[in-house]
Amino acid sequence: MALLIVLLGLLVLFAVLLGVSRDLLYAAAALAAASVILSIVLFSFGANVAAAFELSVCAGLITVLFVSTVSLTKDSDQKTEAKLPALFLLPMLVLFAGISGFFVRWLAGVLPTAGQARAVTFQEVFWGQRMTDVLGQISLVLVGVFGLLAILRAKSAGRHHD
Amino acid sequence: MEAYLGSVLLLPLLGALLMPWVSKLGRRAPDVFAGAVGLGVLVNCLALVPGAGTTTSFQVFGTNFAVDGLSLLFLVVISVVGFFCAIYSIDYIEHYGGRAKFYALLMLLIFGLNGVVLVRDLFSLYLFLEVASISSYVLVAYNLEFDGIESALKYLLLSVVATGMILIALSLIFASTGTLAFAELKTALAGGGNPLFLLAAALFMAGFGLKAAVVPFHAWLPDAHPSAPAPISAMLSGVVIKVAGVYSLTRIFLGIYPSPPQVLKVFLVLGVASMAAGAILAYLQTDMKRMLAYSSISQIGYIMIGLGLGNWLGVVGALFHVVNHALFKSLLFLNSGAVQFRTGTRDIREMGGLENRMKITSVTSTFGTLSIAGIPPFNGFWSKLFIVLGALAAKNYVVAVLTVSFSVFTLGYFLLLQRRVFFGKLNERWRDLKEAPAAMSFAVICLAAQCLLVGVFFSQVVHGLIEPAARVLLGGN
Repeated sequence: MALLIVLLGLLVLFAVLLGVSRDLLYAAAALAAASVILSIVLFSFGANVAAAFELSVCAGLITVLFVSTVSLTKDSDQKTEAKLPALFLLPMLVLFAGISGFFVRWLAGVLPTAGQARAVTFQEVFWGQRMTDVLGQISLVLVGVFGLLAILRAKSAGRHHD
Repeated sequence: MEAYLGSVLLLPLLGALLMPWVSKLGRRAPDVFAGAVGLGVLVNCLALVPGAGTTTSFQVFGTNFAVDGLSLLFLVVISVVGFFCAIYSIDYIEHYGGRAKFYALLMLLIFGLNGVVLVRDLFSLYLFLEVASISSYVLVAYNLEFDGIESALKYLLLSVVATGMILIALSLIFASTGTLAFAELKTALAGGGNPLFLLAAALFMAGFGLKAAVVPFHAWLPDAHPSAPAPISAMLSGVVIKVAGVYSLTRIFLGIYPSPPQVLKVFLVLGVASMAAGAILAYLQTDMKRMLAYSSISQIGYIMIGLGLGNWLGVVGALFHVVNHALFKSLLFLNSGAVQFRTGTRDIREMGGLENRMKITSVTSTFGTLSIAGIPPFNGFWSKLFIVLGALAAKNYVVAVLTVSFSVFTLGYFLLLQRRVFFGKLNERWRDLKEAPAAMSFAVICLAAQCLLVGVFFSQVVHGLIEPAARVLLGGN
């Protein structure tokens, strides 16, 4: 229980860092760290499928995409970034926590009681139970790569109307 | 059979993977390769049509997929429109540059859509929907101009809301039933009673309604579709909103959920609202592609009405309209792209008399106009007729009258579009205008021919493709 509280505390800490960071690379790193911690929390709850995908998609794939994009566009002007989102972060967190608390209490009353989850390995979850998602992930990586290359490509010189 | 299905699913993915290497073989190599992949998918897909009445399951890398009549109908729509958009792009994409990247993203879009209609569990459906959606965000912004990027962002933000709602609905369903597989869910949801099922149903309706761009969830479509390159507008209007929205709604509410009359009423109300609002807003536009985009909202309304009627004629009409709208709306968007390609404008007020310079575009556009307005013997007539007959059979005379009235209204604003763009005195500005390049003309001629042929041979199309799909929904397959 103590470990879980520490992990949840760290999760909130990285989420706040993500929101207040003025450097996009640090923000991407904070997001990756928050995703890794969330994966550990999910594993500890026995939600192995969700944990496997949080780790591979959010901590892995999305971080790679963010870091590549930020690195490729690093020269662009970031001075115009507004401080407004950071000011709203705390009230938004409180509001979100309140809504989540209310929703979770309601769900706890409606949902059937979950049984003890069977312990399964990461290998079993990733390669055995959800092969469709691996196929989906491969295609999402491809979309991300081609999407980045397409958006960052040199624009064609002129249009043909003749 | 399984080999055909595997090819239909995996060819576009392999095509996208190989595209970077193919592009090194020569400037035109990506065109030839994309056309060949599109043709391969189309041929394999058409080879499945004779077996439309059966359900075939197959495995790819240990993953279960299956095709039934409903999946096959949407597969045919995706592969036909996808192939002709790839052919059209050969000349069209020249002025955007980066053709290998464009084709790779187009193939991934097709792969995602094929995945959506072939999977047999809700999470996989969501996953492939994301593959298709992310590809289409980038493709909408492909021109790298302000309006394209702004529209893509708007499309992305509203789609994220939609996928968020879908994901919450999936979580609620999984938490309540412990499964997301279609077959098991159908049994689990049959009892009803759980308030979470109702909440999940509302979230599915809003989420997939947003993807289908039905009123009042349509705000993203009139910006996204006109700003995209023409072949992508054709894919979005002709295919994406149908697969991501209509197919998913149909599969969930008519195939998995026990469809109570209330759900059908919601379909009917959303359908009538979309049909009316889309048509009226289309009439007010002066941007050619924006008018077509609003018209898509109106035509999705007809499909929702047919499904909402819930009887055989209504559902057959709705599914037939899915096919027909894909054909004539792709044709009309590709024609508008040809006009923009040559004139550099989408503003109808600046056009006039283009039939003297762009004969093929003008004639094929007339085919599209007659089809969308429901004039016999074009394909749109039969699907609208089935929907009206369905409304009469359900004794829903108000819906029948509204459907006929808005069909006449559609004819009105499309004739106006046709007159202001192609007929009348030639605007001197366009004196030296030339017909669209060969590949673009070839694609629109083929689509125009299909609008006519599907109308003339409607009986064979209905028996061979539409009825097996309707049986999946109404026969409880």
